[in-house]
Amino acid sequence: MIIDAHAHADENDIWGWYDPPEKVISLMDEAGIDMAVITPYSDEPGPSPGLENLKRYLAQFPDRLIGFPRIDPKFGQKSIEIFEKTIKANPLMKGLKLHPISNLVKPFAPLCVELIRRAGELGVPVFIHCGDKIPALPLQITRAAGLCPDTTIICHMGGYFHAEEALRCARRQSNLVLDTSSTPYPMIVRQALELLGPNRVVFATDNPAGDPISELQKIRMLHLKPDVEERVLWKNIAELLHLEVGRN
Amino acid sequence: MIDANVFIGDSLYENSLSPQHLLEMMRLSDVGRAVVRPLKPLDFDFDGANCWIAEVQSKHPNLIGFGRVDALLRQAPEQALRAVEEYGLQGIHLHPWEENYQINSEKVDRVVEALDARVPIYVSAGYPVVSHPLQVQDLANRHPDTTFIVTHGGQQDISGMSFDDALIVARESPNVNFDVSGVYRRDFIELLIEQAGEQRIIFGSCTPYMDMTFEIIRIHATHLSIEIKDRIFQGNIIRILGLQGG
Repeated sequence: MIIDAHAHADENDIWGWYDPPEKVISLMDEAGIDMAVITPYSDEPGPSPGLENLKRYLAQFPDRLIGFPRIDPKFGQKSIEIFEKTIKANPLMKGLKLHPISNLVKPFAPLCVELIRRAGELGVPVFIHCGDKIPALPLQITRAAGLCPDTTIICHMGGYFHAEEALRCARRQSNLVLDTSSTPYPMIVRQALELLGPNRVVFATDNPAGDPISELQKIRMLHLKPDVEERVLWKNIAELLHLEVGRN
Repeated sequence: MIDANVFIGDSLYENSLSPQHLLEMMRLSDVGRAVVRPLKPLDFDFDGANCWIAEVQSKHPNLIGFGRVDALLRQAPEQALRAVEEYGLQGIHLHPWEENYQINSEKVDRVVEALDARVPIYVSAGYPVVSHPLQVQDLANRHPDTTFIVTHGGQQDISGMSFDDALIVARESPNVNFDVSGVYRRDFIELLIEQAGEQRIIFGSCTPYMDMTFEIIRIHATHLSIEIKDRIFQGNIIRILGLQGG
């Protein structure tokens, strides 16, 4: 069993990014990935039908895809209502995606914090894009995590320039979980496991942006103990999302 | 395979890499040759480090030497020329991130002009503030007769917002070649090929900052033909540097 904790599917005219679910599934099959969490490229509310696309994709591939709606927090109560309604209406929607670089709301801003807390109340994790740019820096996300201790926040391992900072942040903020995609450094994944233990690192590819085959190889080349590799490749995310998978 | 982007030597930082260690890494990764330039030297003396690289090059025929200069320094143009003319090095590396200057600064022009297109100039690219793709293009367009090679496909941006800028450089600046170290997007490598052509993309691992074995895996994972991969792994750098093949 392999579950990808972070992938994308959307057909977005504004950015010209066209990644239908068939493409994502095909790449998953090529790499041997069983299931993936997908998010759109566009925020809701917004001019692109990202959320509607996501619903359609999940209906097409209910056994392969799990959805994280991507919500823009700046609309306040409206954003919260859309998120809550989406989660309650569709059992395949199991988390929230925030992309501060597209929504331009800092993770620790009150509007964002309210949305993150609501996710915690609904029992679902929040995935926040975490990389090298303001407003998605590890320290900014850590501040949000501190304000929302009852919500699990999953984020990238800091991109190219903030990988070590992401590890330091996760070490001191226990509700942060790091995903393995979007960093070119295999050794950072090993360091994350050494610092955080085997339960707070989840395998992800950023498919189709990231390449599933090499992202999987990035984990396999570390030669982790089988039980640790199993936690990273699917058990940790399965537990976070309460998935009924891998049980004989 | 030829790895076009490797740094060696005693480093000011905690990432020293000896030629012997590099040769062992190359053996394990099935890399036959590597283009090497100095890590940032302990004494900040790039001229001394370039001289050492020349010794390494003469001792190990499968290591091809590049010099490195700090373009901010007054003596940088002379050091660059000396590295090529006296030490026999086959290119010059500029690292605006570690040396703290913008790659399109006019001070860099002095180095490029001193070399007068004798050898390629390798640029550590995609670093915030100092070597964004369009900053690299700004320099490259001022020196159309000079061959540039840029690291990281010209960008290091996991948000995806710099890809288009790097592709602009690929389309508009034929004197810029791209290594793909650290490019985790398979489709971006394929797009670079589409926009720049298969002759301008090369394999460079950015060892020891990045992982040589993993960087090879990335290229193997692309949906490119064996012929194009062969160009990336060796054919293009052989042509750019005028090396003997095989």
